[in-house]
Amino acid sequence: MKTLLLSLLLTFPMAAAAADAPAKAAAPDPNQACFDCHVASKPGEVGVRPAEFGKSVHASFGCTDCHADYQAPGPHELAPLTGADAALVARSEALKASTAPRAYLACGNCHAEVVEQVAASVHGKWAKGDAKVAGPTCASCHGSVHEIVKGVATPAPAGATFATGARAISERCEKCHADPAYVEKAGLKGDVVVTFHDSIHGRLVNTGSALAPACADCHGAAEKDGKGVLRPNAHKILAKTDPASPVAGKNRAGTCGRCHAGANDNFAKLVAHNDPAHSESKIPHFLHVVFSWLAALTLIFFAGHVALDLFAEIRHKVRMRKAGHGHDPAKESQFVQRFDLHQRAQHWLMLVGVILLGVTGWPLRGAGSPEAIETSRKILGLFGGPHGAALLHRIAAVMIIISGGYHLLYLVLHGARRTLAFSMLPGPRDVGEIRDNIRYMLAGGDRPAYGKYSYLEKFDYWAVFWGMIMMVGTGFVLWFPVFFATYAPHWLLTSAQIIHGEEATLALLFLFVVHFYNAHLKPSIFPMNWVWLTGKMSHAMLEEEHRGQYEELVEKKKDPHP
Amino acid sequence: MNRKTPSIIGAAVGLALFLAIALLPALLYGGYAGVLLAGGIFGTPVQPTFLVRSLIMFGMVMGALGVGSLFAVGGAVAGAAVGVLAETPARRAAAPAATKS
Repeated sequence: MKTLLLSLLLTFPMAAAAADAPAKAAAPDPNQACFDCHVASKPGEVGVRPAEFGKSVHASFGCTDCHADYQAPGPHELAPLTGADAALVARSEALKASTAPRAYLACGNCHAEVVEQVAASVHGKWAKGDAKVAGPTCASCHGSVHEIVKGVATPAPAGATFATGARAISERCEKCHADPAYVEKAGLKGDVVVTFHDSIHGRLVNTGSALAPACADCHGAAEKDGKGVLRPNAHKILAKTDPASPVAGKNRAGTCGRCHAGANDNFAKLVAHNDPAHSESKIPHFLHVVFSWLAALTLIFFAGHVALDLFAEIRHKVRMRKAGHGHDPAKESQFVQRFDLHQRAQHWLMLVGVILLGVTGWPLRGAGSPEAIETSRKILGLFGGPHGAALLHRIAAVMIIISGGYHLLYLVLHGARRTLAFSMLPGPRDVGEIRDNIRYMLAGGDRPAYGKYSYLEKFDYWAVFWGMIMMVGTGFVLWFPVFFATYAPHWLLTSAQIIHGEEATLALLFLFVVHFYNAHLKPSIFPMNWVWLTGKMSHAMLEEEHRGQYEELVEKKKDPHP
Repeated sequence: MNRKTPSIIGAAVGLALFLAIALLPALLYGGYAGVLLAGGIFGTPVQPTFLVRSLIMFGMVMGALGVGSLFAVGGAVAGAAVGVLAETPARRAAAPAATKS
């Protein structure tokens, strides 16, 4: 009996709880009465999308928590506003603001401190005084007030200085600052978004860096957080002309110094996302123009050269076939030593280094183009993101420096032994060969009888010296910008950025199009000139490509196949 | 040793890979290189004039040729390497036979 009573006592509350559970689960959504009329089916439509609202940070809120003056059932009459609130709404309506000012007022009910910060920032000016256009409200940056989600301000990972949603934040700024119509109406500077994307910070942000700053990180007033660390406040963006702005005058070096320890005024001038034409010094602009012309004209000339050579090669092949000239197995099976192991090792180091520099560097440069951002993110992702690629870029730079040093040592040792051939030195013979080769490519006849090195090979060789000085020199400035900013004028740093980018374009396109064509892809050589691996060239190729040298060897040895 | 056939196959595979995954990025990067050069030569913001468009087109062609060449040469090297590796066991097997004879 006791057992029965005990069982009943235990099971009754459980049964009651079980009966209560479905009732709780089926508890009507307190907002449902509102959703019955105010449901939106797509973004931008007036009303609420219940599913999206459920995922938002305000999901636990009732509609009337924000829409405080509304009473169900409708139609609802709004309580009239007074004072500053009424003025704000009137101004907003007069300026045809695209975001609801009443939502801004509602946000202030809970986020009063943030709303005060916004009101004190450049973004709150429009609400207080004369303005040509309406400025932003909460919804302008945070999106639809009913669908605000976490993510933009997710905490930074260990070691990172900024929030991880940097790209998302900068995209929100761009909604207004990259809109030409808005920029013109508001009298804002028109190219800030373009120059930001073109800057190293913009490119890093675009490719997913957690360390690079977005707009608010430099333009937001820095305030100490709970741990005493200075953090930028995105709600308190200050105009550049405001003396309190982190990017105004003397504040800039300190702002840069938050990430780049030791940054001075020179350094701060480098990172400003400005068109070089508007730089304080004329030198960066001058160098920008000179290097752009140099790159464009060099590439146009050599692209034309490749096209003409291809035409001449095809013509030559057709003529040879018609004349019945075939391969000479004897000449193809005998070889001359063209490069020793040291020369090949220098070339291997150089080619691996340059290709690595290209694939880790150009995607970052290309990320300045909105269309190429995703491609750049994917390519740099192969190397662990932009910072992994940056590490590899530096390793590759060291490889080409070692290659250059190895080559100079090689030259010095050969010079000391008096075995330096000087065959790479340009001479008057090259001028004649350029003329003869252009004539051959255009009109046919005989190809010039090149010696050990043709003018194209000499250009390749000496261009590497030029490229090394330009790329390694400017690369070091970009690698240690704070150090160089301490001792060098600011225009040197800006110029280094310009030269590094323009020269990279020239070097990579020249190597991959012109050098690869001449060395490997032209029909008479395709698929490969093995000399870069074996150091040896067949007599057949030597006769074809360096007839002058071949004839000299034949003459010297009195042997048809020296 | 005939390295030509595996190299040609490798170059063809490299080119096919280029067409499949790298043609579009190469055109984008090349075009952007053209935009940057045009910015230096004609000034910014770049206006869509005939010369600017031509320079961008030139950049796109150079970008595609450059990346295509890289894939073709890389493929040829890889093909040659595969050829050498495939040939090595046959050569090793042939070497003792030649010694015995």
